[in-house]
Amino acid sequence: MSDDTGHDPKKSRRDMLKAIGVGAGLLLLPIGRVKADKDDKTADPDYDWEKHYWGYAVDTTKCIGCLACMRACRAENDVPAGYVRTWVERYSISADGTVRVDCAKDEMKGFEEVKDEPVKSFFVPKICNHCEKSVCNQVCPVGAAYRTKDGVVLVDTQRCIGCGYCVQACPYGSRFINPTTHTADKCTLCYHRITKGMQPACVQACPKGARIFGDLADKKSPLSILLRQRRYRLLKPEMGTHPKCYYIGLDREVI
Amino acid sequence: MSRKRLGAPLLAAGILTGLVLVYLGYEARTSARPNLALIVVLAIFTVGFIAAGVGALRSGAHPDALSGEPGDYRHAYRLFGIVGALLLATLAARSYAVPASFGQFGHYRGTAPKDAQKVRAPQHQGRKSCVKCHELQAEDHAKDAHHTVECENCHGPAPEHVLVDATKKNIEKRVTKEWCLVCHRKLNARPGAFPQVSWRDHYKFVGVKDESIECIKCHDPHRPLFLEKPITEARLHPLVHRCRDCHIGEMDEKKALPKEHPATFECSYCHEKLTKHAAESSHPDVRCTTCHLFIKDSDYAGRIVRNTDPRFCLLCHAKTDFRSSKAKGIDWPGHLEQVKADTKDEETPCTKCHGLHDTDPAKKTAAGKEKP
Repeated sequence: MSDDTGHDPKKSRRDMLKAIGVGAGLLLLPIGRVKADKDDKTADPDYDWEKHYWGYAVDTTKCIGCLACMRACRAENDVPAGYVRTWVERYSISADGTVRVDCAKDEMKGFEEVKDEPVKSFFVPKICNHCEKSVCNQVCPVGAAYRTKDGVVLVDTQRCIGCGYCVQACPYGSRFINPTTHTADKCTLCYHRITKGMQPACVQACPKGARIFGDLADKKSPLSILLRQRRYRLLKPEMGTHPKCYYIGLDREVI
Repeated sequence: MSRKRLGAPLLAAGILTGLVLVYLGYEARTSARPNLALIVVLAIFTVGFIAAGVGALRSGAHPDALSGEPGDYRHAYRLFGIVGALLLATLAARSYAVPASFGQFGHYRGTAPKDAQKVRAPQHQGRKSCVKCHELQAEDHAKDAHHTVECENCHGPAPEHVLVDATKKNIEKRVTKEWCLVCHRKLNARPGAFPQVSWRDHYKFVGVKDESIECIKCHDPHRPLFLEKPITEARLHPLVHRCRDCHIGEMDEKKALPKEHPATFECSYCHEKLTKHAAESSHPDVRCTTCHLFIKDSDYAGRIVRNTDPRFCLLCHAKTDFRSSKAKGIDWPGHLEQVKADTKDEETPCTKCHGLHDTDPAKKTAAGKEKP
């Protein structure tokens, strides 16, 4: 064929295909990279869960009830409408001692004014307490509810059968059955963020610093310092769950 | 002892070793270093025992149905067969249903925590990523009262805007009055020191008739109060108490205290000259803290901000078409030309000509220099 010219048609075709392949690869490269950035779901390989013990504190005296935490949580974790992983309760105590607790109907609209004048009123942000002896784990029949070594109570959505035992067991009402996945759902302390050195979405969003997240294993972390400086209370300590969410400035009425 | 008689004990031994094997196999899942050699040896022994036992039993068995004679163990084979089959089926189902890493760290799938780390990409990027492009806004924002409010609180989380392509389409802007009121609506439950308004009262006070006017007509969301110096540099000041710190409901803070009321912390206790001067000046009705903003940091201290930025004065004094307040409306920066000022710089502080308390430019020298 073209032997006399020293030109191998087969080889040149292969070369051309190679060149096209490389070119296409180069064209796709930036798109692939950008996409990977936006949906970068990779875990930090250097994260060592033996070195951390995550805790949480809420300074109720600082909370202004703006619900930035709730909005941030919903956006960060794609929480379905009508369900919450964290919420803010408003306690209104009237002169005769009646306690009224309410939540905002829509976190995009905030709290409404109350007509009757309470003698005392305050906000209490609530979240999963990430208990050291979490009851929700103990009742799970399939080992889908678990506690990580760094002290976060999580749900293995692959294992969960959605029986709802954990939802019933949690004394703090922190769990719900997700209507889309039909599995148990709860606050993860933004495990996908904290393991990359970021703050949970609610903590980052809080404009008044009412939510404090930190490492209890690190005695110099802001959380450890705060817990040494201030007096705190736990929610339902009599349940024996050893909650790890510390409340500062909490009233007797709060349950 | 005949060979047939050995059958039962051999079979029993086989089942025993089999049970030990099952236990070891289960343990092997949870332990980091399973003893494989022991498991293999036990497996050989189990198979051997069972085979020998079955062989021995069969050697003397009658080919017909159960004879009832001693040594006829055929009813037992069936039982062993069923139990063994069930055991095997359970083990097979278990090995299929239980993930390999189950029990690695506890009673859960060992790979689950890693999966939880990878469940989604972080959505909120934090203000550090905003500062890279929006330097001016970030500078303004860091100075003023909203400095603790994350950009994404009003602009929404926008990983696409930050990481892929920054356009106006993929970022939110929440600027309606209703949005401002989510944080600033007057509520009993909000800490007293937090700035909050009954918006109708506020509009009445500043003379806005049209209720559809948005807050951002006067307040820049990045610099709501146009503070002169960064808020973080404001000096510390002992706590200023307000009537509503103790009293429920609306209180007229300017009203004189009744005789039997205990002494309260008043500006005049320390700043006697200044408060006297202010009371006699052209701003007699304005409370000290309206201009000297007090930011309560904790139950023990706060910071006080002095403010002379023209835009702060204009929050009350701007001449606009949508409001008619008691305060004198000023056309800015046209005012500079009107009074033939030697500067046209829009950022010239009003205090350059006007006294801090007495706004008459003629009295400026006397008032401006005054110290507590």
